[in-house]
Amino acid sequence: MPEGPGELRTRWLSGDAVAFREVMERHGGMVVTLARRYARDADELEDLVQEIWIRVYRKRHSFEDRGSLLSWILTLAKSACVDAKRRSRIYRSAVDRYAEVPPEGADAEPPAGPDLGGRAAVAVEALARLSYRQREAITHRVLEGLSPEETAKRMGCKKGTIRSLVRNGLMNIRKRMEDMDDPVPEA
Amino acid sequence: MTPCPKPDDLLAMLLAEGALSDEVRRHVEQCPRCTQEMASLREIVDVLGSAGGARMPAAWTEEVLARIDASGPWARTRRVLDLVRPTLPTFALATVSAFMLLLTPLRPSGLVSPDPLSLLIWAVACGLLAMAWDVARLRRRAKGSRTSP
Repeated sequence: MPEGPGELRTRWLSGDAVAFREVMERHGGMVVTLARRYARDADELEDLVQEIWIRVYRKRHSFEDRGSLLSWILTLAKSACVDAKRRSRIYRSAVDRYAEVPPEGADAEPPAGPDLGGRAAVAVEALARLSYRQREAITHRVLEGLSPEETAKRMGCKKGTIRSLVRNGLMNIRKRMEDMDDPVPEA
Repeated sequence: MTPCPKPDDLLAMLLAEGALSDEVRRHVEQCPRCTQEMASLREIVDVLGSAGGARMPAAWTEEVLARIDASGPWARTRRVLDLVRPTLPTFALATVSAFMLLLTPLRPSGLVSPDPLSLLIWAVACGLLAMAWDVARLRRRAKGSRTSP
């Protein structure tokens, strides 16, 4: 019988490296898709993804057991991406001040890792930017496939509330996808 | 045609949540607005699902695990042990040889007293010296292999 997210979470919280590998394998695609929105080239994407996972590992004790692991990872990932973008902007402005640099991305290699297209990256970024409860409801219900009853139990609310949270969250993601030509919002 | 169902009902239908009446199902199949709404919701769910099903390159996973391993609380201790472990035979050999030598008349009697504890301390000190020499030799060799093309 395959192991559920609950068992994996418990093993991972105890610092089990095998469980952490499984967490990375299970949720790595989402993280890479999100980071792709913020990285300019392949090297930057790899660095950013590694930084996200190291942050996730170090902060694992701040994870609340009842919440969605994916939702929590996305929160940390978004925060790491915003930090990286801020650092990159400071670095670029310093470099621009003292040297003539080629136009951004002129010689950049295309980022490696799964490329699901811009819409997936925008959707995952929009998911990461949702309110905590909307993100929790969507990850539990849509991505982890929990039943409405189980989701309601974990989130401590009624099934009808879950449905509203999921719908409103999906609407917000749709709105973001409709505006997908917008540049990445600054931190 | 019956009036359009509530948006929550469309979502419930999309997520196969509970049983909806045949009347609602028929309406959604026939109503262009509801069909479009369903397609739009389905697209978002599918896009998120495709990102959730994607995999990170395996090499990146290994790199993350290696970096975590190298930065853990016992990482420094492990590095020291890894460095010292290959020199343990040198330590053992040097200690035993020094002890045997100190038992013979070759012992510098003015410096080392003949009691067993003193002999042992001197032997261990000789062993540690030999070990330090071996560690330095191994480090030089490792450095040489890193810099050579």
